[in-house]
Amino acid sequence: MFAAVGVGILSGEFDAVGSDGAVTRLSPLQVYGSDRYPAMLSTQFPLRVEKEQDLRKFAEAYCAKHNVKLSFTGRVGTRRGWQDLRGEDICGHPAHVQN
Amino acid sequence: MSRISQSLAWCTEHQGSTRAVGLLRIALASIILARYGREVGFFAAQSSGYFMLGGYLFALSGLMLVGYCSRAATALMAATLAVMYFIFGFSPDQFGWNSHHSYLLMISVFFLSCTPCDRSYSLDRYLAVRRAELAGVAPPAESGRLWATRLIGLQMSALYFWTAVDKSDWAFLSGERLEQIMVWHYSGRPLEEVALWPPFLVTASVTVVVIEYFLAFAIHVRNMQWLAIPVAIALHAIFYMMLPVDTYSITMIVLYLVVIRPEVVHDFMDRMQGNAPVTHRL
Repeated sequence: MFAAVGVGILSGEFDAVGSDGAVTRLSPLQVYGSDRYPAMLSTQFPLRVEKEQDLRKFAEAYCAKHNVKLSFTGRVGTRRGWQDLRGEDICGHPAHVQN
Repeated sequence: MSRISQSLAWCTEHQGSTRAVGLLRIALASIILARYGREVGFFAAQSSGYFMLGGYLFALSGLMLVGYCSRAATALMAATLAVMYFIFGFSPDQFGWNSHHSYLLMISVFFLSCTPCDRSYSLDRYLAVRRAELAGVAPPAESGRLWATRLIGLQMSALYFWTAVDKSDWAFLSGERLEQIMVWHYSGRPLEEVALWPPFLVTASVTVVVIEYFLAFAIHVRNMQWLAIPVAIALHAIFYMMLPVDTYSITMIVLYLVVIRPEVVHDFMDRMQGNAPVTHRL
């Protein structure tokens, strides 16, 4: 249980670019929408990230509320330690896809 | 006698006072109630299967606690925990019942059921003493064959050794894997900066691996137990305070009751009660 608890956890920063071009820097927890991760024994965490495509699922709730172009730069936890991870245009809102 | 025979005899011929296994029976029953009581309470039953499971668990843990039909109750409890681990534990909505702390509890109760855990600190003992008094004979000795406690000790060694092996890579020793765990548990909490401080992460990672390799062997060496056991208790206490390890820490700590020589536990209890420490002799 403990060997895997940090696997799929993000460390780094999200950049949210609004339609006016303003950039807001967010922590993974801010994008997740909580002050902290859930207590491990009461719930499982379905939003672990293994690859770039999983970032979309992680940020799904945030993207639903904000019309921004979201990117991530940082690392993801694996059994081999931290691995670099980047994600561009995670929300994929049509207005931003055209940009 | 060959080395192999000596090693086998170390396990199979082990016997002594049953006070440690009596105390362990009470401790494990308490831990089981604390770990599962809330989840198997009748108010939480999701089906008739869970309702029956709760009934079994409360009845058997009660029998273990008071020590009535102790050995049968402990054996049935081991079977119940096995069902919880192997059947209910793999249900997707039953998180934690197949975790390592659940396995440790199950296997410890199973080994305990192979000991004469009814001969001390139990209603069984009280009834046996009363029968002896009525018959005008000496009360039964608080002693018996304890080979299963060796298996508990070996299980603890295996646990320490293989968890250390799992951590013996650069990803852990560099502090990265511990950092991931701390990011999960401490992000957004007051101690976040301390828990994620790189020197702390590296020091803690290396220290834990060294201690676990040490404990895997030292807990069985009589001359090293004076150091190994306090270190182990400190390690598990720190785990408990820093991470949600559930009943893992307390289970490991109480299992040390049967790593210590049984006569030491017996004498300690005698001295605590003001009795001369002689009654454990076979």
